[in-house]
Amino acid sequence: MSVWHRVGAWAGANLRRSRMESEMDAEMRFHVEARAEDLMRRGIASAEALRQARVEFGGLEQAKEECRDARGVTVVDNFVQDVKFGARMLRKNPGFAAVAVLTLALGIGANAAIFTVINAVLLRPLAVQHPEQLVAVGDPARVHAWSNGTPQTNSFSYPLYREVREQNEVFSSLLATSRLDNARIVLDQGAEDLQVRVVSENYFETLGVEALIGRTFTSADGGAPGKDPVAVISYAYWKKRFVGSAGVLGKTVQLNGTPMTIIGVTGPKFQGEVVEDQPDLWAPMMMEPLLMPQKPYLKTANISALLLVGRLKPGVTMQQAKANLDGLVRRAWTGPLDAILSADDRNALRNDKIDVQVSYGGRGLSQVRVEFGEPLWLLMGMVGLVLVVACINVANLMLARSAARQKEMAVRLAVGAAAGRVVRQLLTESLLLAALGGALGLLLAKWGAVALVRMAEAGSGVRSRLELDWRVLGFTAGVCLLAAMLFGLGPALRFVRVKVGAALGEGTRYAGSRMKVQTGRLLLSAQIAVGVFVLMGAGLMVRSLWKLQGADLGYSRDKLLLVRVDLGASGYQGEAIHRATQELLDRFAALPGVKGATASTNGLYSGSESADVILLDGALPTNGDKDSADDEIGPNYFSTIGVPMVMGREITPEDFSRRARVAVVNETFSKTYFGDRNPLGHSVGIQDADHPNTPPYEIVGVAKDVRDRSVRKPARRRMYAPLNAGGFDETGAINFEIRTENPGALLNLVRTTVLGVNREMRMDDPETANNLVGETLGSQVMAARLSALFGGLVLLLVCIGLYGSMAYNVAMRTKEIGLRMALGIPRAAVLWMVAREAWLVLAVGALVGVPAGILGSRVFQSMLFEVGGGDPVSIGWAILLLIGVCLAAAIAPARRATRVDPMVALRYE
Amino acid sequence: MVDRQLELLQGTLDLLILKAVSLGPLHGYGVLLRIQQISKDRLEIQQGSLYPALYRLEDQGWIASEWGESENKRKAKFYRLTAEGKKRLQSEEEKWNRMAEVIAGILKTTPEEL
Repeated sequence: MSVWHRVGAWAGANLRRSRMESEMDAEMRFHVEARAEDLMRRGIASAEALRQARVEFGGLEQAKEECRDARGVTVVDNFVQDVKFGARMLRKNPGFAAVAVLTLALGIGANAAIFTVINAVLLRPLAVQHPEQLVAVGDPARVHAWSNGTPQTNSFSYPLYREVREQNEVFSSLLATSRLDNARIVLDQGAEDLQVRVVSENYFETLGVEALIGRTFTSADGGAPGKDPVAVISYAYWKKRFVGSAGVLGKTVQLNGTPMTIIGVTGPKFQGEVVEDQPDLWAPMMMEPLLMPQKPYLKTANISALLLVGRLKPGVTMQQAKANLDGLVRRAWTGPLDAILSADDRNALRNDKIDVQVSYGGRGLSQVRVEFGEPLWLLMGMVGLVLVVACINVANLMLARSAARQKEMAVRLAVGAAAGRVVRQLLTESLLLAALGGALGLLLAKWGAVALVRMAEAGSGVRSRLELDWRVLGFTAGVCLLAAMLFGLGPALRFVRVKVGAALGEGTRYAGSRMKVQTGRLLLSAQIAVGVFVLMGAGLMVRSLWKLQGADLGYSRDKLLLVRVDLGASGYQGEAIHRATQELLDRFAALPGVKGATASTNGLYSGSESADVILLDGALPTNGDKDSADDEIGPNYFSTIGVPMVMGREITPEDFSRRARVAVVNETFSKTYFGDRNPLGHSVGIQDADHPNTPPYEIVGVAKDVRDRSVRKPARRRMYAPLNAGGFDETGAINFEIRTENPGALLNLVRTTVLGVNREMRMDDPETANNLVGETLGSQVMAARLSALFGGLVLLLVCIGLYGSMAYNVAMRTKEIGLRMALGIPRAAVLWMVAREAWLVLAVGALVGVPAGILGSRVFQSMLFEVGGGDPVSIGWAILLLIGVCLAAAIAPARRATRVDPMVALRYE
Repeated sequence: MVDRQLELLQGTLDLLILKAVSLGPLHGYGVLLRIQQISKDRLEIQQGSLYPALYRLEDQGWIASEWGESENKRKAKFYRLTAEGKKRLQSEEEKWNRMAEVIAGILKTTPEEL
């Protein structure tokens, strides 16, 4: 239905309603007048006749109301009336309205903000045709993964992709996608880095995405390697760099040194298949050897860097797809791909269980989803509780107001308003409050969701996907409705039970106050219990984060600076890489304050990793753990990053200069393969098809384990060999580790030093090791900060609620307090009488909240680190904070109570 | 004229209205007059309750209304029976007669008959 239709229907209904009103009026007036005329004909005077006719007719308004009922328009009518009346009531109590609306806005806004992020990361389908038909093949979290070694199926190699694409019986179309690392474009305005994805030529066709202008790739763009230098750019990039001009079509740009012609621009909605990415440009996969000359992957089965997305044929299930793919992959290894497999890969694959991961792909691929999914649901639960606390506050406010309104309600009931109608009126007022709070909350949410994603550093793609779509609006409306029921229904039902006579007869002050106090106490205790629960959760998250940040990773990360330089992408090859590495090491070592510099291929928290099948003393390991992680390192690696040697020595500059074939292994390696035996002097080799004849290394040392990938995961078994000894696959990207007194001050100097060697050098921003470790804790940081924030919000709400309630009680009991003081009760006793309330509520709340918190923490156990649900520090802090808040809330009302002047109080009323 | 008017039995007003308008279109006040006329003033009808009943019957489609001119040349809303209303009237009539018969039979029962 279009907007105009709706407006038309609404206007029509209004018109009908007003016509009905006037007709009803005319009809009944006619009746009364006709009757009066008849009476006059019998000789009654006209004024008396009219009066009698009216009396005979009975209640005119009641008749009209019943007519409206008979017509069924009353629901809307009543609602409009209720809303108008409710708005009037709120305007009459602006203080109450403002506090209630603000409280609700905070609660609803926090919920809407978290849900907006959940929606963007976890729920929203891709902006493509029929996303429900898409499935992801491989591990959808490996969006930036690159595996060089034994063929994988969590990401695919290009030859395996071709095989699966051509032979499968389950997909109408199957695309492949991978990232182009360190992409750099040269435009007329100059050079810049940009986000590029390298995709199969059927990419846009499979997704059903069409070009806004120009064209997307066709099957002609996938003919032969390097033959189709064309590119499609995104709408955002087009607007940003080409001011949205159609002249961009046919323009040639330099992408990583290769001339590419722009042939099309995608529509504004399309942002690619990776949730957290916002690609600027897509290039056909056939151009990959030119764009990434160091890592050409079209011909080898050993580089697994592709994720696949398929469109299921009608009627095919995911299980069928998986079964088909498992069989296909197995046949591919023994059949068509056998020729390009090395002997050891063949061996490895023969024994491997083939298990291709097939999952729903309509929501896109994402690493962030895996990382942030659980924390987001945890936060959603927390803000849900924040909303409960906010609702209890509003319910308390409404209860307090109910005493004042009891007379009004009694009057309405007495003059014949149906109880249901009164409840409806009160609920409408609640809904109105919730709707106002919700509207304000949405504003908060829009801002909050962006702040949240920025804080989490979840990627620009997520930020641009945040949108107040129908899911968010629907969710917020649902939350408003729920909130209104939560804080509105109780007080509303209470009114109906009011005894009309009693309420009208008594002074309003004491009507039902006993019950109100009881209900109020119950609500406050519940609020404290929820507060304890939330604060404990926040405490556990914050403590986990601290423990994670302070965890002993096996090396000393203070005063360590890291920089990754991609020598391969900068044009270096073979020996030149070693020479440039050495030159950079020398220059870093000469910088002021630097105590030492070293290098490694995989480095610390760099994101790259490698593993190979190893040979111990010339034979495959006998215990079944065939492969080990490895790394190639520079001189004095261990002493520079601060890892103690357990046995033997580290790799020295002398080893380096004579290219000694020596290796260091870590403790886990030693334990796995040698047990209690001494590994020194044994030989370890790499079984690698690309380097079949490299001699083995002699183990000269055992180093302590280093948790160099994840703070949570234990170290893997690992062997270290000199960077320049050869025998490993070379990507040409080197991580440098620099030990210095003042890493922060050196960041810029390091950058200029690198550029001093070669102005075209490609590098990641230099970072301190502490920062880099911090980044891997992104989701943990987000969860901890936000739960602390929500904990603070809960404290604030509890404080406001408690204060309001106590202030109200003191005001109610002024007379009683005055009387007691007149009878000579000491101030301290009065003080205790008032404060007792707060302590009682606190004690009951804590007694319920602490066990609930301990139980509840099991839900997010996996996010905790070295703290248990019963962590006494978290429980202690939660209770201490609440005691503090109770004190703060109780002080002012209690002091007011002790200052009551008995004479004034007794004269009161 | 009888001294006391009978109070209307629950649910019978609808039947009376349908019967009244089945004899020819009437405005609201006319319905009242017609019922009083046929019943020879023996039934007490709350005038105000007439209109909700008319609206309800119209909402159910048993009667229809249109504006016309009253006997003294004034604008008035006239109600007439629809085809559906005719069927409804018939079935209601039968139901009422059966009910009256049954009730009358019960009330006539003497102890000997048991």
